[in-house]
Amino acid sequence: MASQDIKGTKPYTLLAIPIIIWTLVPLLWTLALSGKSPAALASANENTLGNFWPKDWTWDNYALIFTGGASDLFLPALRNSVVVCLSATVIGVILAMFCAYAIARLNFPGKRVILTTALTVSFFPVIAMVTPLFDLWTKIGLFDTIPGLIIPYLALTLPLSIWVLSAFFQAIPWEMEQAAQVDGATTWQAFRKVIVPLAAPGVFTTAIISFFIAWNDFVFAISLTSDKARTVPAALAFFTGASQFEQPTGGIMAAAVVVTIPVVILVLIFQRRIVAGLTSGAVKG
Amino acid sequence: MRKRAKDRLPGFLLVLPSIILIAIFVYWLIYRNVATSLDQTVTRATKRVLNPGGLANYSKLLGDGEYQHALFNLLVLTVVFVAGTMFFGLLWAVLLEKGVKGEGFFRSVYLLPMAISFIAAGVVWRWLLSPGVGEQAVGLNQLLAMMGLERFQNGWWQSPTQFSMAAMAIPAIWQLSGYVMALFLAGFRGISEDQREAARIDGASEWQLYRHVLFPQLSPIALSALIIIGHMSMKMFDLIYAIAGQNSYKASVPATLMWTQLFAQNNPTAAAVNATILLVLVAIVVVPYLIYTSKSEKGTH
Amino acid sequence: MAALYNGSSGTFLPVKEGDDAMATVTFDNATRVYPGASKPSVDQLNIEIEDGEFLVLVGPSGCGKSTSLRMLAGLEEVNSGRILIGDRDVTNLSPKDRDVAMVFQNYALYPHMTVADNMGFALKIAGVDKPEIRKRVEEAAKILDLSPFLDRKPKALSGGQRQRVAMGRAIVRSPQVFLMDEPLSNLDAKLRVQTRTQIASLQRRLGVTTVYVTHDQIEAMTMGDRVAVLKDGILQQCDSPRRMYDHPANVFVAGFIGSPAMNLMEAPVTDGGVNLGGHTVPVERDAMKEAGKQVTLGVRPEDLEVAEDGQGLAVTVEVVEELGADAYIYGSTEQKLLAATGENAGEVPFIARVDGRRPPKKGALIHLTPKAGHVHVFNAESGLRIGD
Repeated sequence: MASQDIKGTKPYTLLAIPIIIWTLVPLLWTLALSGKSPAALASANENTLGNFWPKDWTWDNYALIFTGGASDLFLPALRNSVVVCLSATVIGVILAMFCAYAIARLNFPGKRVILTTALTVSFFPVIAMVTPLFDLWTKIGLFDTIPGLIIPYLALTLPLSIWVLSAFFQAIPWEMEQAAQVDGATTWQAFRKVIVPLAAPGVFTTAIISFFIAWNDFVFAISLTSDKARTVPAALAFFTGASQFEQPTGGIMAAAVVVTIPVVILVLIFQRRIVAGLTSGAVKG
Repeated sequence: MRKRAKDRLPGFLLVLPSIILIAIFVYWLIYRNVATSLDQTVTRATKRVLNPGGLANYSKLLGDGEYQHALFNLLVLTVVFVAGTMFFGLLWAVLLEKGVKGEGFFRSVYLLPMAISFIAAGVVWRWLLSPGVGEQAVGLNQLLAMMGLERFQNGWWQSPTQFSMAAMAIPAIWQLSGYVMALFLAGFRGISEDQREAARIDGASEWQLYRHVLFPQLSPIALSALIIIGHMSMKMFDLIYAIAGQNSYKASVPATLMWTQLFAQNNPTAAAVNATILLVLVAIVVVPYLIYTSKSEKGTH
Repeated sequence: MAALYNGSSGTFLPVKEGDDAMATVTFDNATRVYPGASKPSVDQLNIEIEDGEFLVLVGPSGCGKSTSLRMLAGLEEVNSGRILIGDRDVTNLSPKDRDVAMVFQNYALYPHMTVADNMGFALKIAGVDKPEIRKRVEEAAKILDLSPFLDRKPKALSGGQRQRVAMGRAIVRSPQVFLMDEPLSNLDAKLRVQTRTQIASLQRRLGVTTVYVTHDQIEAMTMGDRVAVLKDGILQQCDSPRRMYDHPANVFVAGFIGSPAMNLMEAPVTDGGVNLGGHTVPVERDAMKEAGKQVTLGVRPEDLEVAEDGQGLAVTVEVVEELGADAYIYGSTEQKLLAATGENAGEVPFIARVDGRRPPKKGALIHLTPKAGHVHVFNAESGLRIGD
C-alpha cells in the first residue's frame, strides 16, 4: 500500500466512479432492455431516465425464451451449453492437471518445449481452425454433435489451462509431502491432506478460466453446429439473424442476461483468483 | 533422483494425452489448412477456375480488393484498439494502485466485461452503436444528445469514411481494458514500496517518480500486454459478427471474411488461404515475443 | 549548496565553512500515533543532535526507532510536536524539500538503472548537468570502491556491493543529514564488522550529521558519538556510549546495553547498603532515602571478583565458557534474578567473568563480590537509577 495519507485517496476514488459507470452501462442497458415490452422498445414514453429504464418492468421477454415462442430455440441451447462446457472443463482440467503435475515434479525430455508450445497455441486465431475442422467433422459425422464441440473446446482451453496450472503447481512446496510422511502420514494421506489443499486454488482457478472460455466461445459454436447441438452463443446469433428490423430485441437481451449471469457471479466471487491466474504468465517473478 | 529412462516414463505418459490432443486438433489442422490452401478448384456451375492452385492462390487473394479492404480495416481496428486499451488500462491501474476504498469491488467491475461473452456484449453494443442521428438516435447517439453533445453523433462503424472501423474498437476497448489494468496492477505490486520512498527522498515529484522509476520497470509487462491485445485484435470475430452481422462488407476483417468465403461464397480454398495468412501474421507478432521471454526466463534462472 | 564545492580538496565533498553547513537536528516532542492504535509508536521524543554528530537510535523491535527516523525523513506523518533541521521547521515538508538522504535496510536500489544512474538519480532530478553528475558519481564511487561497477545493474552485484551503492547514492547528494535504517542487517557477520568501521570513518571524514538506526547494541556502542535507547516509543536515555555503559539511567538500559548482559537482581535494603547474598554492598546514604525496602541491583559480569574467603554471593556454576584469556561462568544463585524486561527469574543465568587460566569447574560453588563503585542501584518499582 502507498505510504500516502488516507486523505490523498479521496479524489482518486471519485475519478474511479465515472469509470465504473462506463463499464457497467452496457451491462445495465442489456438488463434494462430485457425488461421492456415491445411498446417500451418502440416509444420513449414508456420509459424513465431518458428512455433507459422501463416504467413497467415486464418478464415477458424471459417468458418468451423459457416457455414461449423462442423456448424451443433457447432451452435446448442452454442445455447444450451446460453439458458441453462442463464436460470440456472437467476433462480439460484433469488432462491439464496431469500435464502440470508432470511439468512441475517429474523429469522428462522436452518440458520447456511443451510449455512454450502450449502458450503458442493459445495465441492462434481460432477462426483459422474452422475451415479444416468443418471439413473433417462433416466427413466423419461429428458435425452438429455434442462430442463434436467438446473436442475442439478441449483443444481451445487446454493450452491456457496447462500454462496457468503449471505456474500454480510450480509454486507449490512439494517437500511438504515428504515432511508429512516423516511426521507419520502414509503417501495417500500426505497427498490428500497436504498437497490437495495447496493445489486446490490453482485447479479451481484454471477450471473457472477454462469454463469461461468454453462458455463464451462463439466461433466453434456457430460453425460446427446446426439445430441439434447448438449452444447459447450461437442461438443468440440466430435470434439476431435475418433483418435488422424484425428482431425480438427484448428476447435477445433476456437471453444475453441469462447467459451472462453465471459469469458475473463467478467473477464477483472469485475476482482475485482469476486475476492471479491470468497475470501469472505475463508477470515474471 | 535416479535419472534412468524408466523414470522419465511416467512424466511422459501424463503429458501424452494432452500432447496428442493438441497435436491433432491444432497442428494437424494447420497442416490441413495449408494443404487445402494450395488446391486448385473450379466452380461447380460454370467450371470457371476459382483457385488456380499452388502459391498462385495466395497472390490471388492478396490482390483481391475485398481482402485488401479487410486488411485495411484490421489495421485501423488494431491501432485504435491497442492504443485505447493500453491507455485506459494503464490509467485505471495508476488510479487503483494509489489505493481506493473498496478496491476488490472496483477490480471485479473492471474485469466483468472481459468475462462476458463477446456475443452477449456484442448484442447490446450493436444497439449502442446504431447509426441513427437526430430524431432517430438511439444508443450512444442518444446518450450524447442527452449530454448536450449532439455534434459528436455519427454513424459509427457505418459512417461513410474509410476509418469507420475505428468505432468497432470501442466495444473491444470496453471489453479488454480491465485485463490490461489487471496486468499493470500486478506489475505495480511487484515494485517494492522502498523504491518509491527512496525516489521521494531523492527529490522526485509524483510525476517524476512514475516516469523514471515506475514506468520503466513496467515495460516488460507493457510489452506482454501489447502482444496479447495485438493478437486478440487479429483474432476478433465474435464481436464484429454480433455488431455488423455476417457477411458485412463495411466491417469486414480477414477473420469475418473467412466466414463469408467458407459459407457464403462456398470457397473453402480461399478461406484456407486466408486462414494461413492470418496464422502467419499472428506468428510474426507472437513468436519473437515468445522467444524473447523464454530467453529472459533462462537468464534469470 | 555552492559552499559545498569549495572543499580544500577541490571536490564536492561537504566541508564545513562557517555557518553555511550547520545541520543540527531536533526532535521537539515529536509524536506519531497510527490511526486506530491505542498507544503512540513514538511518544514525545526529545533529542537535540549537534551538527556533524553521529547519533544512533537503538532498541528492541517495535520500539519506534525506525518510525522516528522516517518522521525525520518525511516518510511518516508527525501527529504532534516538531522536527527541525538547522533552524528550519521541516515538520510539514515533503521529503524532497528536507535535504536529507537515506540508506534503506533493503537498499531500495532502482533495479532498472545502472549503479551510476542509481547514484546520480537525485542530481538528475535536481537538474544538475550531466558532466557534473558524472564527476560527483565517480568521486563517490572512488571513495566506496565502486568504480569498476558503475555500469552494472544492481542484480549483478553482491549484497555488500549493493549496500555501498545505497551509501553512494546518499553521499553524492551532499545532504544536510544522513539517515540510515539498519543498513548492515542484511550483511553476513564478517562483512558487517568490516562495513561498520568503514561507515564510521566515512562519516567522520565527511562530517555530515548522521542519524543511524539499529537493533544491535554493539553497533550502537562502537559507532555512535551518542546513543539514544528507545523502548515502546519512549526515549530511555540519550548519552555517549561510555556514559551509558557506566551509568545506565534505568533497568531497561542497564540490561540492554553491554554483552554479556548485566546481572540484575532483587536485593533487600539493609543498614548502610544493600544485601547481596548475605554480604552488604555499601551504597550512599542519600541515595537510599528514596529506595524503600527492596531495590534492583545491577552488576556487570566483568565487575565481579571471586572471593576466596567465602564472602559474597554464592553461585553454583552450571556452564563455563572458556575464551582464552577470559572465561565466563553461567550459574544459578538464590538471589532472585530479573531479566531487563522485568520477567521473573528462573531462566536467566547469573554471569560472571573470571580469569581464563583458572576457571572454576562445572558444578562448583563459588562466591562473588562486586568491585567497589561498580554497583548499579535501581528503584524496584520504577526501574529508575538511584544515585549516580
